[in-house]
Amino acid sequence: MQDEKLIKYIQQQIDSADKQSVEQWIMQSSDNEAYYHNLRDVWVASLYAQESAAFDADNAWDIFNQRIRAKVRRSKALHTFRWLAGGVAAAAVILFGVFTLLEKPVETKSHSYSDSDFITLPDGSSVYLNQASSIRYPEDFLASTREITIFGEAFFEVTPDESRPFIVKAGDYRVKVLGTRFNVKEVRSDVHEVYVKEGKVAVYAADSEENATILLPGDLLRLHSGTEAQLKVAGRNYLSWKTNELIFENTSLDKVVRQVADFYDVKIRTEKSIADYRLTARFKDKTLEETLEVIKTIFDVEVRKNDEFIFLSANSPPKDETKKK
Amino acid sequence: MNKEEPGYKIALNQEDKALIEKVRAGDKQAFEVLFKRYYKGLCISALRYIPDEEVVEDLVQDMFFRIWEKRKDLFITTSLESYLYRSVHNLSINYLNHEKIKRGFSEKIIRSYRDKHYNDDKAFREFGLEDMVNKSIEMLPERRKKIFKMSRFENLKNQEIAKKMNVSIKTVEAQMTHAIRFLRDKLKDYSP
Repeated sequence: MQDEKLIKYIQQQIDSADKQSVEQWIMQSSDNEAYYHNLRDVWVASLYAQESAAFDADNAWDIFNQRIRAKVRRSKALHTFRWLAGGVAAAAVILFGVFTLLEKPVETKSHSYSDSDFITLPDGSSVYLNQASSIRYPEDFLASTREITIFGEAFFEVTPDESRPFIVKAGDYRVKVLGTRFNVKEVRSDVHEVYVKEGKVAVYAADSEENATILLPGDLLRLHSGTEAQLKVAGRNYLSWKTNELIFENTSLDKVVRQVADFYDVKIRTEKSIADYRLTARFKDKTLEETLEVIKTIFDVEVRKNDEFIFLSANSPPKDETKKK
Repeated sequence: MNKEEPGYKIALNQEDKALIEKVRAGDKQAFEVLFKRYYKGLCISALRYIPDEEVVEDLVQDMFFRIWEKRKDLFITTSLESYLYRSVHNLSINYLNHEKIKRGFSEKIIRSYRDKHYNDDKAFREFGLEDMVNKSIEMLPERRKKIFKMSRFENLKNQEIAKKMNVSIKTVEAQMTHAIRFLRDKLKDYSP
């Protein structure tokens, strides 16, 4: 059997006539079989060198977490799982609707996949909503506190009013302020982040205000349901969704690409050989295409796309094969 | 089958033991450590049986899910690593048995996997394999490397690669063959 054919078989790029003959050959003897497995193992093992997100454990862990919460026992095929995830989202919306009916008067602002939205609350406070996010708040703040509930991510500029604390409900957590500017983000259903831009806020679990953590400007607190909160460093572009601006200062291309991918909600893979290139740049109100064009020009890299990914790779001219290694 | 070097095994087991204890007590952070440590390797080892990345990821997810659900009953007598790899192996074979008609795997090929393949799974979880693979691929001549990467990592068809590189499809096939043969020889110690 020619190696070419075996390898095409392994690549799953063989026509059906050849496929049969290859399979017959493999099963002819155990030597043949071993020979085939040897080649195929190389093909499989080479995935270890995949230059980025293949079998990304962090991402897989996030999915796993969602499944635990939603009790999605079997994924079977990814499509089933996606469908189930959709079901969970729908359930959340319905539940949310029920609450809305019970607790009137309440107004809900939400929007999905449009530009970030700007809302003025009855007390004059401002809310910038990120994509696919919503808040729920009363038509008028009549109670002794100003309470609103957030799903997703929002940035707040709170009008000072010492007599009526402003409380943001995010999952099991509460963020309480008097007057300040801060950001609340639902990273996953069990993970929230609170970032303070100005002023002072108190963050606490719903039932234990006495154990509040006080955050000051620049602080970023990450809250995991069931575990201890972590104080983290907010990256320079933490509020980029609101400012529509990405700033890089001597940042590795690797990191740049991750932030660009997050910002535009696309998947980008970067070749290892260019991952350490350093970029200092500011992108304000740019489209994905414009941003990639700049990266492409500065580093002379190649940008390619398929349905799922964008690929960045070194733009090396093909070398002459006849050259000695 | 589980013969590991003595020093290595002890070190690993100490850590495993603590980890398993924590998981059994419901410590999710410990489980996260375990999950992230083994996830990629388990996926790759399942890929030896099931040539479909999505299915493989689902399968490993399901396995971890089951372990987490039944964490209270998690009693492992061998090393944690062999336990996980063996589970993935069994799940893969089950999957193949279910899917064989749809996917056209013949009964005999599955049986051959089941009988003798597991024994050399260890090669796939050896420390250093990742390095070794990386280095070997980097040693390929520039054009060959590029073709190999396009095929392997970007899932391009030979035909698409030929078009991109402005060469014939025969050239791509030949380059792929050379590349894989070269890697096989480099990785000989790892693939028994």
